[in-house]
Amino acid sequence: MIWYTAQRLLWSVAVMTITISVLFCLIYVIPGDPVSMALGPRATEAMRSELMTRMGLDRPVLEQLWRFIANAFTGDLGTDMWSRQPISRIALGALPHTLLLATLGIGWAALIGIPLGCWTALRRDGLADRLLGVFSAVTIALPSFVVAIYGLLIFSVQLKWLPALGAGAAGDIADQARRLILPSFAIGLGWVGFLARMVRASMIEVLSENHIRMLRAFGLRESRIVLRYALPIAVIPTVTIIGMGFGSLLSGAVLIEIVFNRPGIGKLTYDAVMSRNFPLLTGCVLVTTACYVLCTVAADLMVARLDPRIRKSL
Amino acid sequence: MSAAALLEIDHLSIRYATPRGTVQAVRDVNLTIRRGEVIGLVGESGSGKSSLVSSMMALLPDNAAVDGRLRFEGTDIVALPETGRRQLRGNGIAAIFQDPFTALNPVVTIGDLLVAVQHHDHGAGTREKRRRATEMMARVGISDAGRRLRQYPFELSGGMRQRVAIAAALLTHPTLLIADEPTTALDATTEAQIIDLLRRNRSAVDGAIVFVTHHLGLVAQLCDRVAVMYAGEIVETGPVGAVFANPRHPYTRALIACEPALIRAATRRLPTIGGAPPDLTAPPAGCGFAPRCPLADETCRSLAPPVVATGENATARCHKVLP
Repeated sequence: MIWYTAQRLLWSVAVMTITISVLFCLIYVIPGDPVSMALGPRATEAMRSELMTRMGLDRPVLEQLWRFIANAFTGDLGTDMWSRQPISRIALGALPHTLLLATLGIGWAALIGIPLGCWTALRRDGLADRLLGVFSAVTIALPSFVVAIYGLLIFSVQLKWLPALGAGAAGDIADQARRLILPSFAIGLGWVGFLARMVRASMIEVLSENHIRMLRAFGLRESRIVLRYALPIAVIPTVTIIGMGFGSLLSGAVLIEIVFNRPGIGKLTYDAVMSRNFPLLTGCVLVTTACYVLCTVAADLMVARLDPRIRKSL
Repeated sequence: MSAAALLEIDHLSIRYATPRGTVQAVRDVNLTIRRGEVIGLVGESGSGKSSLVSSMMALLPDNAAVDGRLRFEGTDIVALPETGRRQLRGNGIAAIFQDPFTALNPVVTIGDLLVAVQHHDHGAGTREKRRRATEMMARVGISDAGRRLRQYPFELSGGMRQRVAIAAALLTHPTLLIADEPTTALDATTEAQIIDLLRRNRSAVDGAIVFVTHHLGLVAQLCDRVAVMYAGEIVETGPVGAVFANPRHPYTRALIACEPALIRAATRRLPTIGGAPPDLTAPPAGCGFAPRCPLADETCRSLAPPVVATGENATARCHKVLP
């Protein structure tokens, strides 16, 4: 298990190195060099070369790449030229908002979707199962920002039950929690049906397997068979999907963060794009990718925890 | 009901609703299994033996419609609700399955599984159940039981897994042990070991063993009585010695002629039974074996054959019972 963890982490480092390299190349592909963007059109040649030396742009490309990678791994993503703050601090400051939102969104969806999947697997082709099928198809097809807009219109504008915009006042936990309800609902709604359908499908498959028949032949209670002996197997593909889904939500939450005007890594990325702040954009993408990679590693470790065949083969 | 009867199968029919129509998997089966006997249930794939055996385990799929009676120790399993059936499974009736590679749950250890199958015993604690499991592991020939109990099924060989499955069944002290083709998935050497193990543990089962197979040699080694199934019906029953020495049903005779181990004269070509079993969505009016039977005539094709007593505890379902 320790070796496996190390192996997965090593793999993540490799993925990150490639990502960073691609981002580095991007700087050269995008029209306009960083120096003239930072100094503007009226800079003198002396100012330009001074800044180029300071930014290390006069060095050979490979050396620049190496320094870029080394800096990124030590957490130095450069300084934002507008706010004069370290980019790592800006990005990591926005990250918790998105992490919390994604955790809540997928969390409630998993808490409802997984049991729902088990339940409909046991009552296949029943009324609840059919209703769930329709519900899933609709909610999976519905973009989360549409849910968000309708949520806002109904619960904030019409009914005035929930506040509309922002993340809430700093320190006021109750206010922050109230402002998380609608965004996490919008993010999770599609996941409920998606997870339920996934768990249902794999549960039906597992329940038809021989070892379940063996347990039934020994008279074990059906609920115990499902929860103790079938669910740990049936949930394995779902764990991988949740890990990947969570990772992609970190950047995918951007629409929700825009609709609700919430701070977050998605909103930050969006702002960086709109203001053509490429160093900040690079930083945001790096942080997002790192989180995504960590999520998939966490999912892999979780799967290994659940499945002794994988755990022990390591 | 005779005192010695453990399981009385009385005009049992099992039908499945499938998209192609209703399949009559088991048709009017009568069979009495007595305490202390080992009965071999023989038949080719699709002969209905799996359905019959599932019903004996009080375990039938939801889409099965069952007629007739199946009395285990006097209780009719067919009439019992699911909760009642569950009380019999693993608590009087135990089963060993065909494929040990898939029959053990992959995510629990052998020890946890062997404790779990004793769940009907509310008197004993987990520690006591684990101690029994350790003991039973030794009895089924698994050494180093302590370590094995902490392992997962995939860490064990096929033969070892089948030993675990047998241990699980024996731990429940069954009065009816159903071994559903327990050696089909194993190689010949392992098969011999498992058969030897079952034979040595015959006396551990205070009741009867139903041994399902399509391997007649194993029936000769292990069983007292044999029941031959064809197209959902039991076509012949009788003591193993008598049936093998002098089969009375043409199908049994053909089956024995096809058994490589029982062929005396040297031959380059193994005999087979020509043709295929009938489609059980539309069972034939007459004898199911008639299209493949060398003795069949018009009566056989149009009239259902009678059950003929061919000796003590021996029957054949045939118009043309052999002498």
